[in-house]
Amino acid sequence: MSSALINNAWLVCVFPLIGALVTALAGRQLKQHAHWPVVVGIGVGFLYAFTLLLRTPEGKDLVAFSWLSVGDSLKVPIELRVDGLSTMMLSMVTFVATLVAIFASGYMAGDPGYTRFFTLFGLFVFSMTGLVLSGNFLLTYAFWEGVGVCSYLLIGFWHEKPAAAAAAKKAFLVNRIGDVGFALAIFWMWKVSAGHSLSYLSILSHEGLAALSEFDRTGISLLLFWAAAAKSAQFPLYVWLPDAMEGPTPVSALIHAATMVTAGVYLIARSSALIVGSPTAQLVICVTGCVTALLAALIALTQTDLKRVMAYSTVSQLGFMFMGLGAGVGTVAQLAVVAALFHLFTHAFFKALLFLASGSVMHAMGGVIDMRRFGGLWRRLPITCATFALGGLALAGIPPMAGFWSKDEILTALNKASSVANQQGGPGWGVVYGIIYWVAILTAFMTAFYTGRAFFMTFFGPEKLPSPNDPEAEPVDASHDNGHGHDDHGHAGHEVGHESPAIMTYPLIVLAFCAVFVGMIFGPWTGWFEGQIETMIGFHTLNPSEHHGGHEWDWLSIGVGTLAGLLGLGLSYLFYGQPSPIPGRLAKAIAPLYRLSLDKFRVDEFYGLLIVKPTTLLSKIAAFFDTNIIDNLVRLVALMPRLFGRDLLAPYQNGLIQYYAAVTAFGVAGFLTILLLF
Amino acid sequence: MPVVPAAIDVAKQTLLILTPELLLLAIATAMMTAGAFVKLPRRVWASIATGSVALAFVLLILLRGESTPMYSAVALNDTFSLVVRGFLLFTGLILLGLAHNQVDESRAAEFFGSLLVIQAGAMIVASANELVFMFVGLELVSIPTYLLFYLCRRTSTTTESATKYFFLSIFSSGLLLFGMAYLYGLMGITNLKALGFLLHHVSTGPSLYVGLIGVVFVLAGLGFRVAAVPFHFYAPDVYQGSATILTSLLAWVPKAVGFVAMIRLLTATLSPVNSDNPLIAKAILVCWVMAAISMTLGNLVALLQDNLKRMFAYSGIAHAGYLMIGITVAFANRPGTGRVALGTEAVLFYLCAYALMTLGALGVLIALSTPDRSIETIDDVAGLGKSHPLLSASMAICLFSLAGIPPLAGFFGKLLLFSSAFSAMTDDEAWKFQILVVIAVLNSAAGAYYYLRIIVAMYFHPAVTPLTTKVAWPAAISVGTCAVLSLVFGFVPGPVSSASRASAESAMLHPVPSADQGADSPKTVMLPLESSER
Repeated sequence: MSSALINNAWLVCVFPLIGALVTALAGRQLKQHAHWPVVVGIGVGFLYAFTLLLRTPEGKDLVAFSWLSVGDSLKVPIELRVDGLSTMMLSMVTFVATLVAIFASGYMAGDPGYTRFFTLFGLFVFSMTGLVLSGNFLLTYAFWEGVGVCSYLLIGFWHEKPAAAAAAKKAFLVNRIGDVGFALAIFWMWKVSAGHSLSYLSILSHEGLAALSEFDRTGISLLLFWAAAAKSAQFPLYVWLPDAMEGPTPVSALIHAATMVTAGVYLIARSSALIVGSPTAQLVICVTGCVTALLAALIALTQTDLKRVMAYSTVSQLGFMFMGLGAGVGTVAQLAVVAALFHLFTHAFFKALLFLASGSVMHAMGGVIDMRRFGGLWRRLPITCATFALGGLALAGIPPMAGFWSKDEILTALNKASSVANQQGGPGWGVVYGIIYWVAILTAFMTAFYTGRAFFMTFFGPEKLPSPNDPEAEPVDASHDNGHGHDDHGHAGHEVGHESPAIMTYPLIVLAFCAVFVGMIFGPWTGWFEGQIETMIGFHTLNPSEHHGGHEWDWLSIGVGTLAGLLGLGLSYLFYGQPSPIPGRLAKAIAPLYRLSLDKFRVDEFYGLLIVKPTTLLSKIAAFFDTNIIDNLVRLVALMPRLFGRDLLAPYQNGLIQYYAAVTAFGVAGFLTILLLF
Repeated sequence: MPVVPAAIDVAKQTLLILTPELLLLAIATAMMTAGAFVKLPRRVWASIATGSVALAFVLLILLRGESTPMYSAVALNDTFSLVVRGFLLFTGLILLGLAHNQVDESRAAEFFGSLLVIQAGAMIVASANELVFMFVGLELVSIPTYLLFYLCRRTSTTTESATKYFFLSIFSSGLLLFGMAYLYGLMGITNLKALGFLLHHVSTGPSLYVGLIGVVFVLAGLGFRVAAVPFHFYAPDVYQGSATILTSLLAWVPKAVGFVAMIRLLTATLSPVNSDNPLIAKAILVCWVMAAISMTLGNLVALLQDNLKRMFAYSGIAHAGYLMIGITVAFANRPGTGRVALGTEAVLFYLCAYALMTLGALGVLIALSTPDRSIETIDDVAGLGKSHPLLSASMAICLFSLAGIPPLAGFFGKLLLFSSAFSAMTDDEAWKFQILVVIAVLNSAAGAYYYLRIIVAMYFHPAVTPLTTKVAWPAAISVGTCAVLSLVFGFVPGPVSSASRASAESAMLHPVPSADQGADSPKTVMLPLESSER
């Protein structure tokens, strides 16, 4: 029974796919019920995944079937890996996706592209679950591309908006940069692995790793991290994620906060057995994560677009996860991997919650998302306010919320890494990790501050609603008008300032519950999460010595981390809890820095000058070369069959039987003469 | 001395395994005789034909365990025979679905009767183990085809193409019979398995000149059936000039039969012969040239065609060229060199893919045609994507498969053919096969153009004359089956390729007759080889 359950784990990704296909084919008939096949498909997928999770499989590799096999060098099996890590991720992805899909059925109601939205949504969940279930780097790559395409299509969902189309293009191109890294990593692995196998089991197993040289390990690890940095929006490839907020808010919540952007973290954690073999790669990962976390938090401090604040916060938190992964030096390895994955897990819940709550605000404000245009909404949107508050506390890392436990684990790992890194890397590495530790605490403080700022600006202070002729309000209103004929709920867009319908608030409440409790249920208290991760390939060999025990509490990190969170929240209340002159004065006092943060450190402009302009120039030259030289060559080749076929061969196809028979006879005679004589 | 089974037992057993063919022939004879006396609606005749093909299929499955002694029976029931006959019956059903309304009511009995005889003849070729019996099978395919030309709608162009096909087909049968006589002359026996076994065990090896004349003439005779250059001339004229249902019959059945006969007569029989023998080297050369010229000429000229049936004729020539690669490789494969039957396996897989995609694509033309309007040119299918979305999607799948786009059946067929050529030889002769693969890949690239052109017309061009044809359900099912299977075999090629491999390997068997168990020993002993084993 149980083994049949595990052997059919592929069903988890098939259910959402079926849902998507049904919606795609029958969408026109289903009209406003077009979301049902997808919601049910993902929901059933979740039930299956959760059953798998409760059975705590011991880690099992399944080869569904061998798709392609050329000689001995190229084999493409459809290979799955079911273990604690994949079932945990599957459950999380399908759970959050179910709630977001329900939320979206209210949020997107009346949109002319309702069917298209849910089809793409289902396809995304299919790709994401496939990515998590895959047991082979090549298959992972395929699904990696799949989530990328779905993300592209969903960011550009309102493609008639130029900003959305541009954001989609940007996301796609930046992700392509990362894909190059992944492809190179796969080529490298194919070259060095035994039997050219690309399955996790043969590369990440003890024997597989032993066959790799130090150089191979570092190279592959860095290439994989290159791929992860693009997908998980790390410096310097994070620029696409904030722009991706042009997509519908449920998409931001699911794809650009909870699931797809964590795929990079997942990939690195999956390959951690390989990564720990290269301290250099670990340091690179840790420093990149640290820079990203700090930079994104600094930008988030001054943004006024509620969704952008959340986007930069996501970038920053992803940086936290990479810091955790990079901290896995020596005996800290197991702790670090568990910490990073646990932060990924808890972050999915509270960040999805914060995004959906922002979406609820946006819905109630008729599409306006600029925090300066509204305020004091707690009386009008009580449920949104309460759930946002819980999500915010979790993000700020206040005990006992979910975010506290995972953030604390990462800080603990960094703290320990600073004391053991000297033995692993060399003199001075401990200091580097020490600096990263304190930067992480500073970032935690800033996280709490901008979270509090967003909350207080939106829900506290004197009540203020956006004016009806607000320029931002129009596009969403227009879309509501278009679909008015079959719009049953979702009138909030017309009358500004009402709480969202129940179909949108219930998912918020469920997620808020998770934001409070998942940390306690799965965290170091119960050790459930760690127990799951242990079945990952190569987990037991992560630590060099047999150093494994229960969770050790690092009271310094707990104390300082909590203090940073409380300080940040308190300060933000002081600044934004009621109208106060302090922020304005402060901004003036450090005007250059303030401008720099507001302008997002001008990274986009810098890229525009340094990369986009030269690339455009190069592509113009290439286009000239293509149209004037290559095309003419092609035309010349295309002329050949015309000359050859029409003028040389056509006379011989003359329709006379005698002629055909004669050619046949001469053909036989010719063959025989040549063969017999030579 | 081996115990030779009594002749009467062998004959009984042979008749038993040929029950499906006998059933089809009996029903066909009954239909054609009754047609003169009884007036029944066309759909009744079509149903009887379909029912008997289905019944033959059931019989084939029931008889799968039976076998005949390899060195004394005229027909075999080995895996090769079973798989190929099963697939031929399956395509017979598809053809019947397409043909069900393509003939006048008054001539339906003879029409469907002829189709059943062709079916039986094709199956006999697949099971034949004897030169004369093989020839009987081939003629059972050809002669009813002449009849069909006169039973379908008659105009001056169809009469012209019927005449052309009749004369040239008889001519090619003559060539084939001449070649077979020389094969017989090699050892003085007509049993193919025994011929293959003896060719290896006679110390002097086969006589070069006798063998070469046999191989070249047999290739010429069969080359006509598969429409390989330079025996292809009839194809464009005849395909274009006849009713579309005949075009699809000609595009599939003779081609399948021709390649199956090449495997049985030539590659499987000559395979145990040492590769150092000049006969094998020269046979490889002939096939190499036929493959290279066929695909190049077929693709180049197909690029210029606007008439779809003529285009499919040239495309069929090109595909015959691809399949000849497999035959070339099959000559090079021999027991003891790792995978013994790479080339044969690839040919069988490709034939399966080819049947699905060609019958599917031509089936769309048949399904859309009406007695008043035959769908023939590229302008006729313009705008099909709007008027018949499902039919054009099927057509698109079949065309993509013909072009060899992954992940469709046609892609895997090409992949198997090309990779078999790459691993055909490992010594310094390997470059010959690699050049052939390069030619083939260039050809596939050029060939993609004319298939994609149809897809562009279907989806992106406005209809010239709007199509309002209501598609009959049997034709729709046939076309749909072809498209779906082209897709399925692309995603899950395993079953087809393992069936092809098993068939190919069984065709290559020449076990040493063991004394105690009679000639049909189940032991599958490979021939001992003087050359070093890999």
